[in-house]
Amino acid sequence: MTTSTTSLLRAVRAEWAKLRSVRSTGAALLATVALVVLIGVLTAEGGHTSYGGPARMDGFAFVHRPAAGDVTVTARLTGQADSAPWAKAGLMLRSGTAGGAPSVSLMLTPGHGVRMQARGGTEELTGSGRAAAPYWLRLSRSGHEVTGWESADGRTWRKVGTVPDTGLPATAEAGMFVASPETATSHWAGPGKVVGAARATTGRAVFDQVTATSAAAAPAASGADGWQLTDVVQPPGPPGTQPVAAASGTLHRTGRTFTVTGSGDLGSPGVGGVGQDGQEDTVASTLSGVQIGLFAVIALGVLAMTSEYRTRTIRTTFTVSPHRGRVLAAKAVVVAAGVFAAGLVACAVSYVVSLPIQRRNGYGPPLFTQRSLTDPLVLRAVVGTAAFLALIALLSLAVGVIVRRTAAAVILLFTVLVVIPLVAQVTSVGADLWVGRTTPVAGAAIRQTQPLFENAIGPWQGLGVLAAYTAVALGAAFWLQRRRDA
Amino acid sequence: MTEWTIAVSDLSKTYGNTVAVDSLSFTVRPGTVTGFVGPNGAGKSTTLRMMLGLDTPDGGSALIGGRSYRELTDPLRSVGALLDAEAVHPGRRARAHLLWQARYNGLPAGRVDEVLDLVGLASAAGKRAGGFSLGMRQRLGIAGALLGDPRVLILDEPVNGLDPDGIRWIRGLLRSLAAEGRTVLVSSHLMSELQDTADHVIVIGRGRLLADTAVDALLAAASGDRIVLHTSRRTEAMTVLAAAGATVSVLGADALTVSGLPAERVAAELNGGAVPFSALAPHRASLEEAYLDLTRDATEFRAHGHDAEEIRP
Repeated sequence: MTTSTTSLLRAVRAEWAKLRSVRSTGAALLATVALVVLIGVLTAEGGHTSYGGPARMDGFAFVHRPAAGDVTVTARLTGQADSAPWAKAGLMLRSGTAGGAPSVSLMLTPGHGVRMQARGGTEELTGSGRAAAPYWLRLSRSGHEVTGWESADGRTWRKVGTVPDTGLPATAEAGMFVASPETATSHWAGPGKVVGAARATTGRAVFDQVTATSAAAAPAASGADGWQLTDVVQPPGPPGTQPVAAASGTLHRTGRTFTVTGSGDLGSPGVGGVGQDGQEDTVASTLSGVQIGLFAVIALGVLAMTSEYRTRTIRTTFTVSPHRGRVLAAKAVVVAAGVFAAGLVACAVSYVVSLPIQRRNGYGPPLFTQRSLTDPLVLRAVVGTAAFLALIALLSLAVGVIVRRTAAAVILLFTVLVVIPLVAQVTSVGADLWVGRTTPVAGAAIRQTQPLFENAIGPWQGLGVLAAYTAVALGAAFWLQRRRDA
Repeated sequence: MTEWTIAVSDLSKTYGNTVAVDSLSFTVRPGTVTGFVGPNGAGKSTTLRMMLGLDTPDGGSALIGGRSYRELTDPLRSVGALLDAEAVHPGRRARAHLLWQARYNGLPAGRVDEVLDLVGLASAAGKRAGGFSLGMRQRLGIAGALLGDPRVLILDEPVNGLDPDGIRWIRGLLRSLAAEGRTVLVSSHLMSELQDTADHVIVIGRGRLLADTAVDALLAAASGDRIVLHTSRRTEAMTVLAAAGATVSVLGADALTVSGLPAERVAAELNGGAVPFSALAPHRASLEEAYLDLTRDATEFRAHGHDAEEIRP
């Protein structure tokens, strides 16, 4: 071990002995944990959600013909418009064309790959998650059993799954369907006011190479080969829920190529994306207490330095260790490590404690997946948020060195980290996003786990912005401390 | 040059328009207690801060054992310093206050208890420094200076706030440290505090060197040929002696100093004027008087000038 490493380790031990021997350190760390957990729990208690729509979504454009007995339907989906992540286009076997009738379906979605639904949309099987048009799908019926297949080339087929008891009658309706769900949009409508609205979307898909072969041939009902378009009408939901008016489906046929458009959805809450608007970041909300826990961290970081100037122990420190850069480095290490450890405990506890509360308040299955603490996305948010607090502590330490007075440093940091973001929030959405992107509070973005419209910046980019500010402030602190008289 | 000599040469420091230290040069040698004296604002503390690498000189140098303080590795092992006894975090316990200092220089934690015992604070080791009297803080500061068993000790006003017992204790401590061959530099704004402690004094005023001399030589020079006279009839005595050509000044209610006349002539004149007197002896100047003589100019100027000590960057 080199001399300078030994000296740095000694300095770290010395600064640790110094930091832990005053009561304010323990108080600040305890306050950080308490505030983060308390605000996290209050946020979880205060947030309620419930699904108010129909128990089963079953409305779409259906191009079909009767198919008696065991039938195999195959089609190549040559194109699908990306009208929504959960837009659906694929094949279906169905007992009739009324909304809510028993059915089995196999579909491709722009955002979630191949899915198969059965039992009134309450059962879902997943196929290839990365599949995209052009893609082959096949449904084959054997008695009451239906098996779904998928293929990229129409030659090699992979089984998606088998549904044993489908409830289909002897003669079912077989064909293609296109659906595209409503999307919820939110917009900023004034200070602290976000308004959500639902908007209908229209999906569009092109099928060719369509075959529907039955063991017992069925008579053609109408047209040359019996294919016809029906708008399957969504059964009404609970009173007070109003589906958004959508255009009815269309069918354009050129030889054996079918171009179908349609709106609507199929599935049940939690299946096929029903009820999942993606407008809630349930992980980030459990960590919202860091906005308040910040106060204790600022106090700790600032006082670690300014208390030395106030009590003039800084002279003893620089007499005992004339290498001033080493003193600041050691302080940075112990302050960052202490705050990171406390922040990690705070964030992990806040997340784990909030989970059952969120579940009770509707933010749980089936609409919301709850992830465990060890889920990579949750870990990024929890560990990243602890790192965010550690960076705030370092920024505060640096400002403490530069300003040297407790009150001035705390006021400066509060202005930057609390007052300016608040003022921006009530000024305009542009100001809010700009502040969230370009000032040190951008670091709070690390707790995001979903791309939401109100996110000013991505998680890593946000943490990077804060890290850059901290690096510049620490650089200035090192430089100033070395050349100033103590 | 001896290894542990403090050598100050041509040291200068200006704060704004105020010259705090002005081309100061002196040497502090091992084995003696050297007093560093000057009125408040003379530049003592500034000089000590530059010695310890806290303030950067505008010119000149202050070297300890030939090296600048900032070049020392584990400085506590070579130089112990007490700059400001009040500079303690009130919430930190005495033991913790010394522990972090020991950690910085790789000193064992056991050494902390040793020095606490040495300065008589063993029973207060677990108490928070905020509740300490100034005297206790001085002892704590001295404990810090002694942590690394250093060859050089630099103490700024260590007697300040100590009770008579404490003063006796620190005098003994400083003398024994010097007797062990260590270099001991003690500053004070009161010469009398150093009367029985220092062997050598460096006197500064307005940032400049006024004297750099052995205490004995300084006293001899200040005593001059003055005579102390005790009499109950002060006014008559003054009239008679002044008429004989002496310079007379009042020393106390019944005491006068006389210069310009030998003792026999003073006695003869008083007897001739029928002025009774009880004692007649050659004057032995106190260190305080010698110091006042030296610093009179500096002090008089300072009464109208700026107090450099008060002006902090």
